[in-house]
Amino acid sequence: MIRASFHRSILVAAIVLLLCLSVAIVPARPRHAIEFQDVTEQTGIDFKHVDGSSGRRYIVEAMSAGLALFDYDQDGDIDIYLVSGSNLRGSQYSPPPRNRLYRNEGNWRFTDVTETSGLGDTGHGLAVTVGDYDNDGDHDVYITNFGPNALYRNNGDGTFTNVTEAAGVANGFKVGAGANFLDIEGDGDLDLFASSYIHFTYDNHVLGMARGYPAYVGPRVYDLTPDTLYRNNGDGTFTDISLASGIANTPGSGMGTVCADYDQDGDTDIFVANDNAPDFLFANNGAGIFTESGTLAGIAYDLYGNEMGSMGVDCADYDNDGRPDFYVTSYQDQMAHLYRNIGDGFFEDKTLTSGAGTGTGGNVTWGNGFADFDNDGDRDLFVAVGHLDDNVAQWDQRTSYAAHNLVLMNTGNGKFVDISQDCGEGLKVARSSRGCGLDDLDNDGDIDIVVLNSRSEPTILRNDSTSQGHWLQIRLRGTRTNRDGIGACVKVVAGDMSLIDEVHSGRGYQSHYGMRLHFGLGNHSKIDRVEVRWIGGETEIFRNIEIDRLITLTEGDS
Amino acid sequence: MRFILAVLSVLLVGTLAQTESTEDPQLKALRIKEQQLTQRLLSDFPESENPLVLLGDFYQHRGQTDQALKVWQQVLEKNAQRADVYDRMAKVAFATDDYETSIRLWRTALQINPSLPNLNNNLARSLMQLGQYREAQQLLEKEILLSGDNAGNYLLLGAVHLELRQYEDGERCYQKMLELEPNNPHACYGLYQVYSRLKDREKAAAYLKQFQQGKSQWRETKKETVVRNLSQPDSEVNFYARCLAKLCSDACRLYQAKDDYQATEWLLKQSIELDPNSVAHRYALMSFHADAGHVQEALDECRIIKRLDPNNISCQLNLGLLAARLGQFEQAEKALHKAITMAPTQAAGYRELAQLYLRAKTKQLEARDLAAQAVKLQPAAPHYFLLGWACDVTGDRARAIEALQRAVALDPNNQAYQQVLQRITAEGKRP
Repeated sequence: MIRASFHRSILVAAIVLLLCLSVAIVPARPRHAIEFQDVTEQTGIDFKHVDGSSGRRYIVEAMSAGLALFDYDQDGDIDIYLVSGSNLRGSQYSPPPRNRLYRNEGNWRFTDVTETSGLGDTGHGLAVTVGDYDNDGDHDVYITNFGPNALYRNNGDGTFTNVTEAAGVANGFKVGAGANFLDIEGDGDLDLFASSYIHFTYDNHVLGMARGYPAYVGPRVYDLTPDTLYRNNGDGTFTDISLASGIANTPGSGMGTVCADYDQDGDTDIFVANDNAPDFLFANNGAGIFTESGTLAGIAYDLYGNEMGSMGVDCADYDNDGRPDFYVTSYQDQMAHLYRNIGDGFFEDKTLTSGAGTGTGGNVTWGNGFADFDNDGDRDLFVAVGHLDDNVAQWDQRTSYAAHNLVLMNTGNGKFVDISQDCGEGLKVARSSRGCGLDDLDNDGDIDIVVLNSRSEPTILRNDSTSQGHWLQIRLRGTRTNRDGIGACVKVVAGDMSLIDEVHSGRGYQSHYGMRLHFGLGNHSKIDRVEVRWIGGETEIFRNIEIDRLITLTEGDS
Repeated sequence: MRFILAVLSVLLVGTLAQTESTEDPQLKALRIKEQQLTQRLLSDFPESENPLVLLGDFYQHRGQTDQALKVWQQVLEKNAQRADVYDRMAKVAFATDDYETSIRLWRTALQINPSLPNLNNNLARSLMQLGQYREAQQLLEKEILLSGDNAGNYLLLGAVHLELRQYEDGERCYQKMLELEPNNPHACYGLYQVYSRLKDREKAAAYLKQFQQGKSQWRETKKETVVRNLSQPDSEVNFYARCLAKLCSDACRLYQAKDDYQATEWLLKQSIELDPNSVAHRYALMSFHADAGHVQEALDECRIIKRLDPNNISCQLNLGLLAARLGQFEQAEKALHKAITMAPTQAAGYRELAQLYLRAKTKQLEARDLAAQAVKLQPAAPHYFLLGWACDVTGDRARAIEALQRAVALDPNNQAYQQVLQRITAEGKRP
């Protein structure tokens, strides 16, 4: 008995010693305040993306799709809309794929309301954007497809009506890309920008080959297409003003798009990420006439003058200097690019000096977004990753079809650090990701992530960051200007901290999210003022703002 | 060695497993050929790591990077002083975004063999990816001193200066690029950025316009290339065969180095059998035959190259030179005349035709004019020498001496030039 006890003690001591040694030997990975957990399974979301593939490798398969995060039923929490491809020629998915809407029930439970909402578009979906085009107080949805696009008017009772034909925004039969609602001339209603990819039809399809293996072909094979701009007539209909506005002067190969007042002259400009062509920056003259200024502004090419295989784009002030910067994802062997706004309408490529390209060159990068994940007062980056070709491992072992997404933490001094391996289990998921959305799904003050994965289930990441930073979320309500405040610029001043943001409709890779502006405040516990410059309206100053909550600022209430 | 063979056998077993699973007889045949070639290389060079280096290259060429890295790692275990292998592995690390590893590997390669081409600028590129511009700047400046003017190095250095906001220095780099390559769109874009930052709007606008014109042309050419390549779709079999052909072609250099001409010829013929449309492989076989004195075989191969690549000026010149070696003067003359027609601004055609006439002791006045044209197009020492020779045989001794003096001045270490100059000068002094 004594001997057994003695042996047990020896064994325990040995185990303790081994454990101590293992702690000493295995280098501890740094833990960061930012942490994400994969909660997809518990959400009840059963969507599985379909790209319409049947081995033919139509270029439009790999481009699908984006997603939208928005409060469709105005119940105070963010719902999820996931876009799907459809049956392309030669494929027979059954039941026919369609887009799906999931209502947020709280506590990370979502209910499929596609059927009752009427939002189950069955086109080969690529992009989606959201805005209240009829200013009736609810969010309408525009979807771009390979084929006619679709506009769904929100009836305000949880249902939508397809009003594409009446509104005149089908945009022919094109390969759709990023779309955005914006008020081009500040008249108070939302106009519509619809980008297009390339001129592809089943008849001009080309099968690519990579090292002898079938592969998706690049866009250079096809003719470029001009983008489309619709002016809102104010009566539920739109007029195509692409030529008159200058938008159609420069054909491109549009992918992701974002609208923002990059030159801070009081009107909304348009950025288009083009695949294998210079990116566009359509500068608005305030009256809805646009001049393509990407090259002039230094944002169309990389530092060396190379055009990128650009995919998605987001816009935010990463260095808190009061000017909006742009982040553009791109194809394999090209880093995602960070363009810093240096004022006077110019940008400098800060990809390398900032570290914002870290980890992005080895694979294809798609969805992306700026968000202050740890509420420390500066915006971090999320990047969705995944190759086009499911067989890429056969001919290029440097990369993979399924890949880990990236979180790049802003260190506050203009630099980003890749913390993807050290910010929770959520980033261990490997899929072939496309669009993503960043929003506060559980209303707890931090930004969660939804990722649409090609041919797969989405990934829902709950932000479990340990940061104690304060925060503020702002929902805008236009009264004289557009109802959602799209295009309005907001400045939050708290002591020595000054943060800006703008309400965007459509961003990232063919997605929509972040209509409620989110500001991480760090340890600032008091806000001095919030300035709102309404698009086409006045600048208002709001005071006595409480922190750590979602507030609604209504135009004229200051 | 035993360990290396064990690792390779693992790779081969993988290949065999693939062989069994595939039903394509062509692929199966290629895999068998790969195994045979690998085994032969390893048994013929049991003490050398060179076959392993080539096998790594073969895997890398096929996109099998993991296998390539394994094999190269074996090379380093055998010989840790292979700077070229560190360089290869660094390139893979760079391409997979692992800049820290690429920096470490390129630093090691530099320590072992600083004269290996492009190590400084490759290391500089990696450092730039991590924003370490100061060291990158030093390396690029060193590389420019070592390897002379090169537009690529100035492009990188210009970017470093832009990032460091040293706009005047950046301007100098991009201007230097334009000296080397007029209208280079990247240089124009660099200058556009520089002048934008310096608020020189007029210059910025001028270079922006030049950049956009250059880019527009580049885009059209690029699209044509992409469409052309797609019109000749590759297949797994073809690509595999091409990779194997390159392995054969690379491996023949190992046999050539040990004067095993039989194996060299066999490998060269294998490379052509595997990739019959490759001009490079046929060129290698043509050169092999020419060097071995099999001039007729070389000429036959050259004619095939001509059919494959009718606009290949080098091939056209070789048609003339080989015909001349076979004493087929008229055919040689015709071929070299055509070479001049094909590339009237290149000196080579004029030079070779002048030499043909001078050697055949015919049309010597024509030879002198041709040599003069070669000098005009490319004022190099051999061309001045040729002009001196032509002038000498046509009785223009003063011009001959003048030309030979230029040749000696340009290449003072060339004994032949000096001897001929001395002879002609001495003959001129005789009563």
